[in-house]
Amino acid sequence: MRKLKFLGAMAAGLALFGAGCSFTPPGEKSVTEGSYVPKTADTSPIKIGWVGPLTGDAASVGKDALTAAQLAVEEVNAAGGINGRMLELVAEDGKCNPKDAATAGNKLINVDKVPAIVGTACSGEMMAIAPTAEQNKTIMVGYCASAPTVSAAGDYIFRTYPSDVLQSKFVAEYVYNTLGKKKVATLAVLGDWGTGLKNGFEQRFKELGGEVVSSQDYVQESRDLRTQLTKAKDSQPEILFFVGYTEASIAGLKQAKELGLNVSIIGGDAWDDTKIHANSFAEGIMYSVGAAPQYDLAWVEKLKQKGATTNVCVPRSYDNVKLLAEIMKRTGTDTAKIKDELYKVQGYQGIGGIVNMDSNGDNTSAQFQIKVVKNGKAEAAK
Amino acid sequence: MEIASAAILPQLIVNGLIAGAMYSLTAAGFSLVYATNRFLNLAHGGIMMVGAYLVYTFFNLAGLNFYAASFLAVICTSLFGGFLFVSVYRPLRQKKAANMVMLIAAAGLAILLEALVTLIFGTDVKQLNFISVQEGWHIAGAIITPLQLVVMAVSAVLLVSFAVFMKYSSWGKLIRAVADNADLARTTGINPYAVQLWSFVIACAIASVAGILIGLERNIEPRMGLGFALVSFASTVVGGMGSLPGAILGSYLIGLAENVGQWILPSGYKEAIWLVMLFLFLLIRPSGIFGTEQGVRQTKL
Repeated sequence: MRKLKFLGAMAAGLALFGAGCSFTPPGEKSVTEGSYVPKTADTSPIKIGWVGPLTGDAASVGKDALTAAQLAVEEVNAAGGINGRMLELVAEDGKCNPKDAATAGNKLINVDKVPAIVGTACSGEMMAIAPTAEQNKTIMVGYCASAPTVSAAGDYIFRTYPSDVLQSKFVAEYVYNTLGKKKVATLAVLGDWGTGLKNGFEQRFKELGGEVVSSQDYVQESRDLRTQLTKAKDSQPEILFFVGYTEASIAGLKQAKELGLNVSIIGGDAWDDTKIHANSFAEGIMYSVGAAPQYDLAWVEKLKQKGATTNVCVPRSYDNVKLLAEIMKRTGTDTAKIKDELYKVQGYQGIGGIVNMDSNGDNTSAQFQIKVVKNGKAEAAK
Repeated sequence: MEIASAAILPQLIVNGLIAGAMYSLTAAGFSLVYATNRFLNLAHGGIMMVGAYLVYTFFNLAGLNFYAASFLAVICTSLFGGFLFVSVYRPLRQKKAANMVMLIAAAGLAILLEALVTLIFGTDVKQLNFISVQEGWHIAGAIITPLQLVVMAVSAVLLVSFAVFMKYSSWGKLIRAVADNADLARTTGINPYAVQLWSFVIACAIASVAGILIGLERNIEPRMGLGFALVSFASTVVGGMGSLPGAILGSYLIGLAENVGQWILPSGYKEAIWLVMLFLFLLIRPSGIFGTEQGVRQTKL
């Protein structure tokens, strides 16, 4: 009996361990790009870090974003690098979760000793790395992390992707004013991004005079949202605001259809992923995205040749490399100087839109738009 | 605290049954391996995931008929399972490896399978797209899709046939004999190795059926195995270690608890519900619902 109890307790501990973390493969751990053999010592390559989800949730978004960053590095190097020194991108898998991102960040900061990290994609990743980066005076420039919490993450922490404070307001106003829906049900993935976007939306929607009839959450790994959706349906909303990453969203949208939740559905920027749009049950869904109205077509073509598509995180992953390269040409790798220069960025025209940094290291020039999925493709909503 | 209206209760119960049916498909095989081999095969979820990727390969990539693809996937997964048993678990057992070693080997195998599949197929979610998605059937105040009915039917057939098979068939008796005391079984002329191998292969066959059905219902990802392996484990604890019908009943209890529990609790607590349930069972009834308190089994652990 005692042994049985022991075995049970041991295994329960294991179950908890497994529930907290996940056995994710170490695949694609370290990708170096543009490696260059220096002829003399002063032309040694400058390493910059990159963090985003290469496995796990949101991996389809992260992989394309990495390709874009690699493209930017190639272009910078082809144009002579940073005053003759080549850029070298050290990419780490943040897996869209705080635990793995912290490991990735620690490696870049303490082992590779990079002056700057292009990243991250997920807000949870950003918040996990930010304290270490701040302490070691390592620059971080987020390309997709949008949670409101990132604004106050530190002096060395920047992002070119607009904060969800702006996005959640924008969506709430669009739903209330443009669509004229007054009763909303919300469903969001638990975490910095999902919860932040949901809370911001609900707050603004209530201020406008709307009613939040149901507010549901789910954990990131869950693929069974049937009960959350059942509760949402029961509250008889006019529209569902559904914040989720690709994998759970595909499952959730399918389950919504199966459960007969026949209301409009509007989502967050992670839905700017063609993997979602191609499904029959995604027809008619709307989502907000913080991006330029139209990407440079020549750039889109270059990306396509590398096997990547333009999703929400791709343009700014590219832009951030270019922006850092431009600044480092003036400052070298001194991170205090890079930091000061980053705060001065005004009117920088990137693929993802204009960048105007404020005193929090946030991009204030937020351009949002609503896209709607029609015939399996996303297009701008009228 | 928001309490949802009672009108959704039938749907919540159905949601629980659907979840329970899916858990039971992996828990059944997990429990079968535990009953005969006496180790926790954490790689069982990984084998289920391999089954799902095989049907994706045969159906979506090779373009075979879905049923032919499924049949092939079940055969291949079973063979693959047999190979894993002969090449990993059996040699360890021959070296008298402790249960802890077996557990670590199984966890290692789970990571290896996930990494291999990621390497070959990439990390993004794959969809079988065999059944077109539409609103389910309205039955007794709840909505359920035909596929979900199939999943539940398969699970029910497994439950009944396991119970009958284990109790009455000569094979079932062999399995129970080996499960109770492998050394004693050997002295009566039973080959425990064959029984252990065959139950592992059968468990893998069931796992691949689970992989196909779960793939249809929830899509396919490299990470899908781990979560199911953990829930399978919790189900076997709740139902009773080594009891096959117990594992299936435990799956349904967990599925129902996490879904009906959301009637009262906020939905963010869904996963917490089954973990709390696991602890309660370990504290109050560690042998589970159908587990034996007394007898030979305890000394064999």
